[in-house]
Amino acid sequence: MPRTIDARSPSFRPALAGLAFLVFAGAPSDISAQGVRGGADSVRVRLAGVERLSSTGSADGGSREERLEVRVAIVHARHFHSWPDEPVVPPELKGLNPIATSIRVASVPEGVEVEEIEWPEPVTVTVRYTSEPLELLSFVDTTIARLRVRLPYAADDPGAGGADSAEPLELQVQFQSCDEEYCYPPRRETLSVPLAVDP
Amino acid sequence: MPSLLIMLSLLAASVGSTLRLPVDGGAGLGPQVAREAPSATILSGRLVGTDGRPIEVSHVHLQGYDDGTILSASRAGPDGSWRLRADTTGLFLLWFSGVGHRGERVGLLLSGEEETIEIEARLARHELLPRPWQAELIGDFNEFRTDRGGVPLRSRPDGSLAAEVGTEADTLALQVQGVAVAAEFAIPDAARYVYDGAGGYRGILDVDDPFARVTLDPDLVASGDGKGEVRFADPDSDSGRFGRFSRNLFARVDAYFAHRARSSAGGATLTEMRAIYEEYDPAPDAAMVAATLAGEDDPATRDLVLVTYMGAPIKTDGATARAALDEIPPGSSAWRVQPRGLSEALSAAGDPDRSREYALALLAEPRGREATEGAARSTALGWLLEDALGSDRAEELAVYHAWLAGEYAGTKAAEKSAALYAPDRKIQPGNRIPDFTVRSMDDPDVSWSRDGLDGRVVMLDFWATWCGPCITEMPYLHEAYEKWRDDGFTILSLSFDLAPEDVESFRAEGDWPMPWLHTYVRNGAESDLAAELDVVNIPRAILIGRDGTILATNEALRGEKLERTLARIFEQEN
Repeated sequence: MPRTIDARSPSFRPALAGLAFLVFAGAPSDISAQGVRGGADSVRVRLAGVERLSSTGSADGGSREERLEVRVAIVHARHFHSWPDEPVVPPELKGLNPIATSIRVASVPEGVEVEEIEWPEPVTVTVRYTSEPLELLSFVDTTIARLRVRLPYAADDPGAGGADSAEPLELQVQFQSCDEEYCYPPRRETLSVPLAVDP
Repeated sequence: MPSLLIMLSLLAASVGSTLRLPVDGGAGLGPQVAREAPSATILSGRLVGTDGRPIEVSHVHLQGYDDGTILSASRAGPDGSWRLRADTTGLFLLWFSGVGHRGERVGLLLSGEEETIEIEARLARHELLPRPWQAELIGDFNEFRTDRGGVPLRSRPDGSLAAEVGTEADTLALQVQGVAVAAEFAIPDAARYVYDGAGGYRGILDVDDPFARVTLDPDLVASGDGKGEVRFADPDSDSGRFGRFSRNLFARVDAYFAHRARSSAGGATLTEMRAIYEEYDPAPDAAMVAATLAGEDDPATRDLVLVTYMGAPIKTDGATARAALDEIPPGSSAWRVQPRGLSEALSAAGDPDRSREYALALLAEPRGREATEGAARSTALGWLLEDALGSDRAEELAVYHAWLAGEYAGTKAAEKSAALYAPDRKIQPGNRIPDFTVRSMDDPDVSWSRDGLDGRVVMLDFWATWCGPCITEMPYLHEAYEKWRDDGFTILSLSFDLAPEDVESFRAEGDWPMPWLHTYVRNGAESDLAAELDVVNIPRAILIGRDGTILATNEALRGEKLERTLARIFEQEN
């Protein structure tokens, strides 16, 4: 079952048809984001953390390797959503060319391997482009993608392979966002993830 | 602002004599009604923990009732005593908080007539969930989201829980969830604590490693199952009586959210959440309100009881809403204390069309001293602006827009107004469309310009095949094109697609042939054309008359409105 949108929010109240003025009382000001060229504020991409999942091998530097989880946060402004990694186009939008949210590994330090990218389940967003509601599986709010990364060295070992080079993992995140009324052109954001750390 | 004065005169003429008009609309617009300066209210009391002893770190925060804005704060002293001075009147929240304890809140009515208000608060410790805990860290790394992006705390052989959090910052702000019942709490042993705005704390860790290690020893987390208390020294005072009601109301709100959480355990779609809302029975809440009103003789307090119930984030009762509208006149200051209460009363009573009447009455009253005065007046202006937009009253639109932009700049209503209507925008009905030239997608030797389209009524339609709302416009566009093309109407679709081939396959293979003019806009929203025509998102439409004058834009050209707009224009021609 898809998760709900911000089900904990005490501000959730179903809007009543025709009560446009309620928007003024309770909604934020980014309804159409008119004037925000390119929708730059509708979605932001940032590093949400790196966690060490496992560390194997001896500590003498022989054959040690570590697995990290890199979390990439795709943060949507309120009322904005983007297509998930595997878009499902409903029949009402036949012909649509959805632009999936994706992460491409643009550059990777030597020996480092990105093993998999785990995307969260999309949530159902109800939009009213016309008078009929339409349900879209979407990414909303803060979507965290988790990348499993294998390092052939200890992330905090300065003597090992990657630690003496500051070469980061470069990720390219693509997304295309819409609000209830308008869509913004697809964008690509580059994220630099430092994997080698000082002792 | 002489032009605004003229606009106000026009407004006075347009709204008729049955409605009171705003007379003190903005700085310099009318006489300010002199009022006595409010006297300060001294708030004081003692804040202790379950055991009756002061808490190591505890605060009392005075916050906005509606939006939670923190207005002032007092850190309780070593003996638990606290003191705040309030220089304003209105409705507020007092949040009592202590590290390791559940926060408690109470509604605070400051009328200016009570010089001192004394309140004692006792906080209960967090009630802990049964072990083993499925604990997660949330923090600034995931914007304190409780539903996603947390970092799990994993069990260690020594019984403690631990996690590593990567960060590039020097500090980490953290809370733990999955340990306490219906609450997040600050990790113990933090370097310092900051208030989270809702009765809790965030622990701040100083970080000197990109992988910060966080450890939680369950044996050091104190538990409690008692209830917090908030007591006014004078329970029969205005503030005491309203405070008691507010505690009852908050208990009902908490019960409503507990009901929602139980019903949606394991996840629920938006449709399912809507069903949970619809199924909720507001009768017990309404009974609590009725019982309060039965023992309350003071008209002002009665009004506030009704308004705050209507503004509470729960499903409200329609009969109580109608009673509130009957008992509280449109111009009452009670509505200004919590503007959301008025919105909800009108909607719950099934009477949204009266928003214009209430808005005008609210604006016609002299300025109140309530802290929410600006929010109430800007909200009322927002209602009027939307009403005028829907009724094509251009003079009123200009007044409301200027009023919001001048006196209430930065408010939600002003920002919405700027998004909906801006008289200085060049792409606006009545202005001449800037010159442009585009090349036909179907025949590269053909191009169109503003002057080259003269003689026809042309709708510029910015779209793309990746844009959902653009696709849902297709039936309306085709219907309008078929109906009006013989009258000299055409559509020029300007595609922001990634490649022109996307448009060709959409037209050839789908249900929508789009048998009108097409051009491909290289660089889409980043193009010079988009900048010149003020297009930042799609679908965007601009309807140009035969002489190059803009006749309508965007909202008036979406969905079923397109047909009505074109009918009006072509009827005027004939």
